[in-house]
Amino acid sequence: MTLSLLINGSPHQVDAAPDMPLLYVLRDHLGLNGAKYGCGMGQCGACTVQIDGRAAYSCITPAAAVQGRRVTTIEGLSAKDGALSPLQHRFSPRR
Amino acid sequence: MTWRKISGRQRAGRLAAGLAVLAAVAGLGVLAASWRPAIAPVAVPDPASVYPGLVQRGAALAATGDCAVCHTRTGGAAYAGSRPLPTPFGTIYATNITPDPETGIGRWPLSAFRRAMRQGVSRDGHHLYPAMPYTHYARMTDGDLAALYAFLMTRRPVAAEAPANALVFPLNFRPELAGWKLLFLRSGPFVPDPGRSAEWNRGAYLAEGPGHCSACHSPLDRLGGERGGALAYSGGSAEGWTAPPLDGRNPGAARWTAATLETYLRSGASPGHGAAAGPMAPVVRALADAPQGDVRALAVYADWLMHGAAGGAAGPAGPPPPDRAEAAAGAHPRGALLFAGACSGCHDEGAAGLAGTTDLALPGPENALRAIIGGIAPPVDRTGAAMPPFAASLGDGDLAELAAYLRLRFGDGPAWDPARITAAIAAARTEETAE
Repeated sequence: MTLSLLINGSPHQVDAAPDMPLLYVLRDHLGLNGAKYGCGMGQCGACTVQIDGRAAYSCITPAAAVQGRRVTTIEGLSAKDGALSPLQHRFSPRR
Repeated sequence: MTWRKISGRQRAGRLAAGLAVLAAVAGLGVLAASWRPAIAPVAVPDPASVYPGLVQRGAALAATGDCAVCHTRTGGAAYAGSRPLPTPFGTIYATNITPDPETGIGRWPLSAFRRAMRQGVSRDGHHLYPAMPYTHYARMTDGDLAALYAFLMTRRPVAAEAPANALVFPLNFRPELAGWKLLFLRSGPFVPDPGRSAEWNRGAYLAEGPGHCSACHSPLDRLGGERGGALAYSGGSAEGWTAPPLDGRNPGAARWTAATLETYLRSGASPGHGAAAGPMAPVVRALADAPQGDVRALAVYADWLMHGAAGGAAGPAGPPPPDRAEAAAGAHPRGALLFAGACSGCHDEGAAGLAGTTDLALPGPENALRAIIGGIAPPVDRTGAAMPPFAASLGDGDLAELAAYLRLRFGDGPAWDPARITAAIAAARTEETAE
């Protein structure tokens, strides 16, 4: 099934099962590896993304549930000129 | 004719004046009858002077009675009050029951504490709102009230003034509470039933007295009084959550046993029934500090409420209702898809299986949606049942689809009213944002 997703401000068409967790779509289909697989049960927070501006566990969010909604991953937090956001900066090995 | 008219008016005028005087006199009478004297303050007792054994006994009663649940605000010091208690009549703020001399009960003698617990009257003489369940505490023994007093007076004093209550007129006029008490404050000391076991009697005392279980698990009438008789324990509500029936009307009554009830009360969850959530979560957290024998006694009494009270046989654990996966997926394909992606990772089978879950078997969707939207925090020592919140993951339409699917698959009852599902989602979202 083709899912229409809006990730970090860009539209994407992804061919994936609609019940696939958003985390897998981000990592396996879109190469956005910032969100991590930790517990897979919505407990540890390693998979956190923002959906419509609110923090959500992407490992327990079916991809179909975010169609038509804004998803922001840690990759999408940088400023328009590419400057790292404070959160990205904290994760950066070069700081 | 003219003469008669004037006379009639005069007569009506006199009658009105007479009635007004009568009403005023009656009003004064009510005020006088509602008046309670202040009890003179005393010096704050020295904690070192209190017998430690009494404090320990009081601590167990405070745990069973969940005092801290209402008398502690989120993130605040234990027993220092200020927690907002939403009622159908407005918001009441719990008072400070630490021994602070100015803002707490530090200068209350035992006699004032006993009067507050049994008659709902503050030390200074004003009537307390029945959000404080004194209709239950009135059943407590003198010895237990002294123990509870000893426990509270040896807590760390915290200076904290509760915000003013925000109640609708005319309920913000406290002397009226005297009338409410005439109607509803009728409980005397607990009378043990010699025909039943010591454990049953202990459980009954704890449930009816300090534990005040029926304050939430019985319906209230329009004046906020607990319905008794055949309606006692037939289910009520608390803070927007449904408090399920604790009698034979509980959806899982045929499967609950004293043993599973004890597990639930001690750990916050029981396989095949679900986990404590909403206002029951802090109750279970408090019970973790109660003596095991007391929790066992509560379970024995609850088991009797479900199976013995109405003359029914004690229910052996029956099978959970069937899992109607195919029918539910056929009727609600979107819900099935969401369940597969969001829920089945944990809820596929085993201990977290959803068949028989109380919240899905209740007539309304409120509890289930509140749990899904807000999640469930593990109630005891951060272990036990936990569920992440789905507020940000699922939109309103998807939540409604999921609720309809869950009800049909696991619920064992007629479909939930879609309008009620929509309203429950909105209410749970409002609360979730407020926190």
